[in-house]
Amino acid sequence: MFDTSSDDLAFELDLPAGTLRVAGGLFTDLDARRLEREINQATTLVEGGTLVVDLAGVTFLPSTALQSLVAARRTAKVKGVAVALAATPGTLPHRVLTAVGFPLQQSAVEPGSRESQEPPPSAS
Amino acid sequence: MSLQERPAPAGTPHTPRTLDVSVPFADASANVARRELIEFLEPFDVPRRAVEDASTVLYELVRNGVDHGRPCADHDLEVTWTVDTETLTLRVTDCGTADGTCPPACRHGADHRHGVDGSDGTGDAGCRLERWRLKLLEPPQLDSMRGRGLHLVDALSASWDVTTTQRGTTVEAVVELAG
Repeated sequence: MFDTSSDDLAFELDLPAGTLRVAGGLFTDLDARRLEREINQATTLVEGGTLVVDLAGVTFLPSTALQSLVAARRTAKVKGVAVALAATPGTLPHRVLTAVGFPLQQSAVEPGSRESQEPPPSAS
Repeated sequence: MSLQERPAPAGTPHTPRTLDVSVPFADASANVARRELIEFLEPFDVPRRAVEDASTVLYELVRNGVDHGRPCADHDLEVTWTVDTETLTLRVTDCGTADGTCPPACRHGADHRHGVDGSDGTGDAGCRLERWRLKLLEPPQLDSMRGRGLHLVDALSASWDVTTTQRGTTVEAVVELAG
């Protein structure tokens, strides 16, 4: 279980569910590149044709991170893997992804559960 | 409930409070400014959603200034914010000016004649790059790598505007604090 009590970036790959859960803030270009790398790696491991990237625990998602999502989705497509994005309505990731027209599915993380309890915005 | 009916955050000041800082003309300054803003807002008990939106908007404004603007004399750009009872106004100023590549036909009324981006089909990249100064944002394409920053500003703020003078460019965005 990853820790959502801080803005530290964390990834958890749930292979049976075909889901990569992301938590923390994507504050820097290095964070964005790490997101792309983790998705690329997950697409080589996941069975089936779809990887769900669940962003319910993400606390900061700027346009630089969106570039990484696009790049990772392009790379996955070459491998024959579709990348689907999931977020929880009412959260910053949901607002950001909706604003730029990314198709979204509902996060499997239950609203109110520990994983969906984002910490207050911090200056980290 | 309309905005007017929402109570202002309990801790927001009755007289506007302003912070004016200069940050290096560099991508990394977006995160520096974001951190400064969050620290500045902490005493005001601003709702979480407003802090998230405001910090995202400021981050994108700084990145936009670095991507499309020019540094001022000290190789910096100016970041200013003002908080009052109901709104937070964010401003980022660089010393870049319009480069004149966007002709009047591109600026006014071209959209309905020449398609979504208002271009004349001649591939005038300079014109397209300058259109953001007129708040003419091309719809974000799902597979394009760039061009989403100001869409986030547009979506997460109540309003935004661009002012270009001979001395520089200021992009201002207003975020509602009611959250």
